[in-house]
Amino acid sequence: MPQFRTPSAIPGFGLTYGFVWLYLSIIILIPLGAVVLWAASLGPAKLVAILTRPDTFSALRLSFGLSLLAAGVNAVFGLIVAWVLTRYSFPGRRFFDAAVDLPFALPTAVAGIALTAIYAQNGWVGSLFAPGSLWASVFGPLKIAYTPLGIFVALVFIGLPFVVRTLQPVLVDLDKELEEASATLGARRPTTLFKVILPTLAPALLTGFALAFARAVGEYGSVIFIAGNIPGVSEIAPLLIITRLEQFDYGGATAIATAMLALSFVILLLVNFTEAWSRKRLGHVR
Amino acid sequence: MELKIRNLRKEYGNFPALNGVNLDIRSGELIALLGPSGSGKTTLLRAIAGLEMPDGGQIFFGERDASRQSVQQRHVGFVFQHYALFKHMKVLDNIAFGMRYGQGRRKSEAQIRQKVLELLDLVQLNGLEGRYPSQLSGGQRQRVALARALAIEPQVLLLDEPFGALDAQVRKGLRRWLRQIHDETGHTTVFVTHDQEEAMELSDRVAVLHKGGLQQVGTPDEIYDNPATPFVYAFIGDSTSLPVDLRNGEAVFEGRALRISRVDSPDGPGRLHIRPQDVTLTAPSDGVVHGKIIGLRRSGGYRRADISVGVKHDRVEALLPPEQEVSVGDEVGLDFRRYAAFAEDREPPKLGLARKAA
Repeated sequence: MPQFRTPSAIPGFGLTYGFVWLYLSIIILIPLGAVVLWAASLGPAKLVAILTRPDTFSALRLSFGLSLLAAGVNAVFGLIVAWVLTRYSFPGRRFFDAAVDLPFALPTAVAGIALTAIYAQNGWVGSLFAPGSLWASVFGPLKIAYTPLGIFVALVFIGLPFVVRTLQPVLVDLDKELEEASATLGARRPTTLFKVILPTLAPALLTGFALAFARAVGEYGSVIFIAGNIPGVSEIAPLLIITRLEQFDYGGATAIATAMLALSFVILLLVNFTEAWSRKRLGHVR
Repeated sequence: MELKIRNLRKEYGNFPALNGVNLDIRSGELIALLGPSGSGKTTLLRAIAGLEMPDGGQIFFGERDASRQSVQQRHVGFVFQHYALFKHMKVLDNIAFGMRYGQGRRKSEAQIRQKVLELLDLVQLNGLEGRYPSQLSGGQRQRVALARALAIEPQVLLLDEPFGALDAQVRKGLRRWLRQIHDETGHTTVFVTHDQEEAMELSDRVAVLHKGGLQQVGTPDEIYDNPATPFVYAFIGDSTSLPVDLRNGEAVFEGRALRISRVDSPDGPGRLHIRPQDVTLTAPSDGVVHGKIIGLRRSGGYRRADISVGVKHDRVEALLPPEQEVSVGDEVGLDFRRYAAFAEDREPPKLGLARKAA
């Protein structure tokens, strides 16, 4: 049992603990609790009916599937970006370093419109895969904007800084002697990478992954422009919620929101447990 | 394995970390690279391991030129000051790392386990194979690091300030223990230290480095009793020095001449180096120099006397047995049992350990 009134070298637990509860309640728990309560008032039968509708189901699958995929891709390529930015010094490093943050700062609608313009079939990148392009003549035409692929591109775009920024400080602190020790023991570079470096980075990488995923699941602004929003094909769950609201179907909206909430919570909890486990192995017991 | 280092050079920018080092390391010996920070000792060690690429010169492992070989090919055991253990691996996996992923012949898991347990026995950590490094003390971690380095059966064992991060008590214990391990395994061992006591106590030979160059290589006795350069004299042990004039094999201090054995110094201004324990006090009328005791301090089993000598009040330190009856203010004569004279160094070594004449 925690003791609330013991003299302590770091006083203020009672006050700050109370504040944490108050703050979390006002900002997070009460609003989200209201969502859950509203959804619960629909009754289980209606809830199941809403969630098993084909458009709801496919929107949820699309949102969570693509978010996980995008977070995974960001984990890999964000690691490479963070690695290059911390390990090497080259002209323009500071410029690239600052550019990583742009997806944070940009209004998401701007990002969505910019991405759409570029990835549309007549855009710079989109035209490279459009019918008549070299790619199309070899592999067949590929449509990026207005398809799930476009959503994926937008989710990768907005998730990248999360992975890079969580990894950078850890990479800076990464002990070079670990790599040197591995080399003196005869391990080649790939072995060192997979057996020494990656396990050491695992907790930070998981945190970055979780943040990128959480951001991607809730992303709305940038996605709706590039998605095309074809029901059942490229309609994401947050958009479906908005659609329901516009139809004054508050029950439907809160039901989908509650489902998203529950799924996100379970996934983030899993990631957190994995992270805690790998952190503990590294000896950072908290 | 015998090591030959030929004319090794390394620069960081314009700063010469090593300027043409030649050193022969005998097979099976335990040699210390000793020097103040910035002397190039760690650079030399890392160059032997292949962790640092020298700008010039060669390193021979036996007859084999290792200069252009990669770290992995050199097959050396390296122990880092801060252990560099793999935190996400248990002790067993740390020690097994080199056997599993290294360049040597593959062993079966049973053989690896067997070898790990043998090594744990050698480093006296039996039963800790299932622990993570974070669950070990500093001394234990360093012993795991040593076991890990020994596991690949290296040609040479290199240790970079292996006890630098440990507290004094543990350090002394591990020092004795490392000597024991060396005698048991017979590896050629090179270790870097800035602690002269550690170097003197532990090693067969000591190589003293200063500003990227070798000052002297010899047994601890040779280094202590016959320092080759003023730097070594000042760096190893306590010493004080007096300004003298070198003339025809004599060192002249304010008109009094002292015969010096080392006459290769050119005539001209020089410095006479004396260790406190080599100073004896005589009657004021006797002795080569005269002075006045200006301070007395107790130091272990002895007393240290600060003596102001000559017209310029140069300071000499003497180590006296406590029963000798002296007090501050006494006029005394000084005899030097042993001393060395060197031509004046334009840049006297700046060291905390060397007590320069005030």
